[in-house]
Amino acid sequence: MNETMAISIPALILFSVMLVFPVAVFRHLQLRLTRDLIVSMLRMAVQLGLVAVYLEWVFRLDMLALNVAWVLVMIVVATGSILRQSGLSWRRCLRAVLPAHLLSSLLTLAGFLLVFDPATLGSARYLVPLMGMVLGNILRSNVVALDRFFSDLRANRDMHIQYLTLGASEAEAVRPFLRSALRAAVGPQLGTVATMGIVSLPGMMTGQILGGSSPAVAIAYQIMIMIAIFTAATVSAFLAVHFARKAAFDPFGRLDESIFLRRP
Amino acid sequence: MLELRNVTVRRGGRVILDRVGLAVAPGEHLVLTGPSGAGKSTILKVALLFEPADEGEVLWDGRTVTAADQAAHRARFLYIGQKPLPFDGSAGQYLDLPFTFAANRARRADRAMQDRLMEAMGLDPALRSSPYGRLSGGEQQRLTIIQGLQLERSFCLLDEVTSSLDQESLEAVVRYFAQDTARTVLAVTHNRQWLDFGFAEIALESGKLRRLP
Repeated sequence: MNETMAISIPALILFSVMLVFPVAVFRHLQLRLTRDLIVSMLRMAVQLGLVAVYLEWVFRLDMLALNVAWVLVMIVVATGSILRQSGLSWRRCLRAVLPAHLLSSLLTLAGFLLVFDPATLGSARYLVPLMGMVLGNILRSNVVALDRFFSDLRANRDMHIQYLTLGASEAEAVRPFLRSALRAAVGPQLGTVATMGIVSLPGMMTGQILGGSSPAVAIAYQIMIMIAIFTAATVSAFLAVHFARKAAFDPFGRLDESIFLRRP
Repeated sequence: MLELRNVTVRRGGRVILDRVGLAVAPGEHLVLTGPSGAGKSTILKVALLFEPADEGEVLWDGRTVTAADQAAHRARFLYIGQKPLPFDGSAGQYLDLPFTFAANRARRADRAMQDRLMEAMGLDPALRSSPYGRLSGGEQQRLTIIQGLQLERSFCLLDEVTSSLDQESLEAVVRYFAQDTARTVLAVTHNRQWLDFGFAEIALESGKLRRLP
């Protein structure tokens, strides 16, 4: 395998000159996003730098326990990010979203075992990037699902009341909201899957080709990861909404506003 | 018999209902009137336990209703909100919806009854196969009323159900409820035509209820 050409830090700094173009666009449109752009880029550089240091150690030591611990950290961070982005209270919703992620991650890992032997899957080189890609991608679908579920529920409170008075159980009364949440969360992903390779050259495949893998190997990995991401996204969005529903209603079946950080 | 006793509801520092007392005897036909935002809908929601009362209680046949008997309590009422609700599927499927819930599985949708109700509300029974989402707001609203009527609940809580209806369908709906002497009706409305059909008026003003002669 050919070594990938390393990018030196001075080269990277030089490359960041590219950012004058988005800044110019922001200026032109008076968008006031320049500050956000600089902060976001710096945050990314610092976070990735720290992760690189950490991952160097994870890869060097390559102990199963450490690899699993790293995956758990990723799950917790992803959960926190989802709660923040959906404006849900940590205290009330952590016990809904965290189990949803743990269960869908376990399912994904079990699926990977159909392809890899346990020793390979447990090694840092496989476990960390594979689970990282899955978790990174299910984040978006979870945020969309939770957001849609609760915003629909708040906007159509009368519908929920009507279903309950018509005799629907709590689960039956939220079914239409669950349905539209899942459609919003995973529908667009199906579109991405269908245009893959034509409209977008996927990140994992690009990375592998740059890393020296043959396109055939890279494509097999890409197909596997797309199946894993789609499955995990659907299952975790479903479970997150399902568990969140249980935390979201008071004994009278009324939506409990204290689960939201922002009140309407 | 439904009774609200000394119900006070405060929202954001404002008193919406101020020690409201209301008793509705079986078979009574009442309209609840009052300015917008006065808390008329809140009274219906308090009665169904969907809106918490800060003080006071809801009683049925003299007994306080608690969280434990909410499902049985709500099953006494037909509640219809002010705007037609979204639904994916045909008008017929919308009418059959209550029978898909486990609690109503023992009963089945009765086509003949649905057709009869549709005609009474001025709807063509052939509408059944149309997609619900394509119907007008007034048609959707009447289907929603029919959907609830099938369950033969004895107490109707109606929240501005005629606001999206034209004159003809409004009269059909009001006449239907006026002639239905087996049911108790408490209808929130701005439309004074209900009074022409023999409904008695209760007015809500500044958080207080007043029965008008």
